[in-house]
Amino acid sequence: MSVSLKDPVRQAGQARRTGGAAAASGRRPLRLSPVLLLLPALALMAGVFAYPLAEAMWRSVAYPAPGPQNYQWFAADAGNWAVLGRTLWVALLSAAICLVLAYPYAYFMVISGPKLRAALMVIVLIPFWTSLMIRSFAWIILLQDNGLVNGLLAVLGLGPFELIRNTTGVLVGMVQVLLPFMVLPLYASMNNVDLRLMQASSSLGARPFVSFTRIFMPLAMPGVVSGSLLVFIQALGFYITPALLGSPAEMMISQYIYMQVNGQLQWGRGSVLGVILLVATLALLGLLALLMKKSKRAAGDEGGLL
Amino acid sequence: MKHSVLTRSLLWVYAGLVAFVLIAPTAVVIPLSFTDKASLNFPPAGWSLRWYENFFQDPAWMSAFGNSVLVAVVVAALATAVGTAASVGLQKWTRRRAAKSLQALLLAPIVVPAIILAIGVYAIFLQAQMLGTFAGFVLAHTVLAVPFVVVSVTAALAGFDQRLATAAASLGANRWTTFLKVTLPGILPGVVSGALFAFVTSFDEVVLSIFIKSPYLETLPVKMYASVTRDTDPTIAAAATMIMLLTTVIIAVGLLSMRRRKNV
Amino acid sequence: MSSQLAGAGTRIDIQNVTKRYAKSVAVDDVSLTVEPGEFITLLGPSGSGKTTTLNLVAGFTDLTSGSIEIDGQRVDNVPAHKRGLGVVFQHYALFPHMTVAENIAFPLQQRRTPKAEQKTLIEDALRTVGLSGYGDRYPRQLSGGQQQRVAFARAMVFSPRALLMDEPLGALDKNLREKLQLEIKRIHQEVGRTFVFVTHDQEEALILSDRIAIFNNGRIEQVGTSAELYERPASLFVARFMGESTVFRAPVEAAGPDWSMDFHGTRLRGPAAGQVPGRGALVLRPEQLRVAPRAGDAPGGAVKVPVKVVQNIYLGSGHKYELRLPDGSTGIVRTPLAESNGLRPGDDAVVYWSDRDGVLLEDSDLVSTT
Repeated sequence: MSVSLKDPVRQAGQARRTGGAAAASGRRPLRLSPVLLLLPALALMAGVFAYPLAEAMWRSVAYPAPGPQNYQWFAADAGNWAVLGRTLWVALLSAAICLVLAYPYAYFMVISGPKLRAALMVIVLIPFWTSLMIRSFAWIILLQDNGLVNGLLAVLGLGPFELIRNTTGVLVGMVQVLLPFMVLPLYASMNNVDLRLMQASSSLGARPFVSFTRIFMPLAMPGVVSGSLLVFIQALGFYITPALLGSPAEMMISQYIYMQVNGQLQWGRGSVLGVILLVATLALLGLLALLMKKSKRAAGDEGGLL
Repeated sequence: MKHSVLTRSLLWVYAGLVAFVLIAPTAVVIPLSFTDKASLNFPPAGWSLRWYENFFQDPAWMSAFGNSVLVAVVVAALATAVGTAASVGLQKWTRRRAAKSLQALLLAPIVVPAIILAIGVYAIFLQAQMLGTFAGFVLAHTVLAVPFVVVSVTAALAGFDQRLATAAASLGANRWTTFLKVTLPGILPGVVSGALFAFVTSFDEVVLSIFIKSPYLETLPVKMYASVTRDTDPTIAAAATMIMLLTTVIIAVGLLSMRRRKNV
Repeated sequence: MSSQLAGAGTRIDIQNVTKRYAKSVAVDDVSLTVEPGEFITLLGPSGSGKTTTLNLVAGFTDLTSGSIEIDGQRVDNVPAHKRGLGVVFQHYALFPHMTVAENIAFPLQQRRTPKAEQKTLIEDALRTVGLSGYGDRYPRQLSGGQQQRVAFARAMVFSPRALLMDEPLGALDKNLREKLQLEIKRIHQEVGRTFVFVTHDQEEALILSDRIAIFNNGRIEQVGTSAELYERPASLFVARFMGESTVFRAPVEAAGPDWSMDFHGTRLRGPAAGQVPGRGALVLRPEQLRVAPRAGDAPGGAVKVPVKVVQNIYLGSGHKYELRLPDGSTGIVRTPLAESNGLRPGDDAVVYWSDRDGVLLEDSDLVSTT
């Protein structure tokens, strides 16, 4: 941990050295000022981001005593696996539902005129400036046993259903919160598809359905992949929405971490769960970056020649 | 591309429903804050301002609100300064690969699940006795806010014609003058939106705040979170409405000021 | 050679077609019959309605009124994918996620052509455009010219009733464009199908077409062979659009079987072919004009106009003169090398021609150049 604290200093030293090398090889030397400008940010990142993360990971092997016992605890307890499985499952479902909701929406944006498109875009962006807390709270009101949704269902002669304090409630809340993260990459990707290709396709004898499935959908695929991964990754680490709309009996991993650390003071166990969540998140992010690089290369005209 | 009227209408209806799901739920909070009953039933049977009254008369709500505003203002200032400096530094860095990985590091707090950072920060603040301190809140929120400043200032810098700065330098301005008189006015929209993002990030932050609060110092979202999980009191709806109003006003002011700049 | 692709031509009948948008008329009452096996070019400046007309035939755009028939069948309510026309676009429009072979196979798959037959057809098509062995490449691995050849192959492989091309060479550089022009001409001769070609480049139109339809402001000004358009333009617009010309503009009066006009003090005349317009524009091609230092050097019966020499350009095969006419407008004369006369910029001279040459047209320009 002391290592991570020294990070900026080391970075600066490194920069100075490479600057010298650059000067020697005839390139413009690196001046000191960029390093100075970056120093406050790097110090902050080191002290309040890297250090705490390292501490959290360290505790997984050091608390309450050094050794792998926390990992053994995780592996041995079926309840832990159930939490992990539920988390993955809810994240997967969130991504799938978001995709089903966002795909036609983004497509509609692409084929709309500029004014309607701008309006649809604003609607997607509005949730970004309403706090997550408030939105989860709103769902409590709507989904509670005598809430508006159950009221409407009763009119239809259905229910009342248990819509809250279970996975259904969590899913509803998460989907609504994460939907913009699906719409935006989808729209970006679909907007890149040359719609004139659809004309070409129809001139070659393809029915609209065939043009859509064989030309449009494959070309919009990068958006589907990155949107789904983005939603999935965020869903994995969600805390507020599951905590407010879910139930302690059907916990997700973030709630479990909170419970271990804050409720039971089991730092080691909480940290193990944190490490697992972090590794899963970073692995998926790596995959996302790789896929985006690949699709960028595939899309670039000259990229393929390299 | 041509679409049949049927396809278009179906898409209209579908997009309308999705749009409804995106924005409508939040809207129920506003009428609920004017209910006259001490329950979260929607729609309310009668109307009153008692929950706003309650909010403004309850010292716990008021101090949480004050703390939130104060923390968010300081965070916005600090994150904007630190983030802008870092963005300029990144742009000046001649080794692009190194600059790219440094930028990734600066953006990392957005992608790491908040709960993990929260337990780490909790552990460290516990040791340093910074739980429930103003400085603690500011530091923790600033880390989360800096990435947003970096993103928007970097975008503004990319759109800024660097030759203007070179021209100013050739006219005898020193680096600091060049930055203040040429670069900064050029990237101001990016800086302003970065500051707004920073403010809103801090003002809305819950997960870290739940861990680092103390009975003596908590922010509005923390108080709301506690209120939702414990009591069923519509005061929280009043608080939520005011938060929405505040963030909307801030963002609108930001957008307007940027538009006015553009018109000049 | 490529027997698989050859076939009989198709007649396309465009009758009184109009395409109106909210605020403008893109195509205004256009009628045109394309004969079977013909290579016809729709030529005109940008925004003249030629591309819209092509899109109406292809089915990408719905017409406002009129009708389009292909081989006697009305198609204006038939969706594009059922019209069976091949289209080549300026932007190639190759599917980037498919290989060259997959691109060319696409129209065959839509028609459920048996796999084995597809293979031969694809190879045949690739050979026709000179790209044998490129089937496994992706479009992005090809140059612009190669991509456009693939687009040709794809548009022809399913034996379309006609091939429509919308400025297919517009995105290519000059050398490549000239090379592909010759190839398109060769392919047209080989397959004997109806080709409809859109361009704004009159030289390209001259090289490729059997007939050319000149578009202006959403209407067709004239349809004809290159020679007809060059020698007997129906309007001043056509005369100016097709090649260089010198225009003498003045009020016209009829004089027995002839017409005559007073052009800044010089009397011009010629045989009247029909109705004589009130405001006339006499159009002469550069080859029909001669230039001499003095009026006396011109033959007796010739029509003569005094001019000032602006440029005398030596072209190897002859000279090209740029002249200033008495009304301030510019005249262009080309003479064979044998007629060199030593005129230099600034010299006074006389331009002359036989009174049987030239075409008298209605002066449609609203603003006079004087």
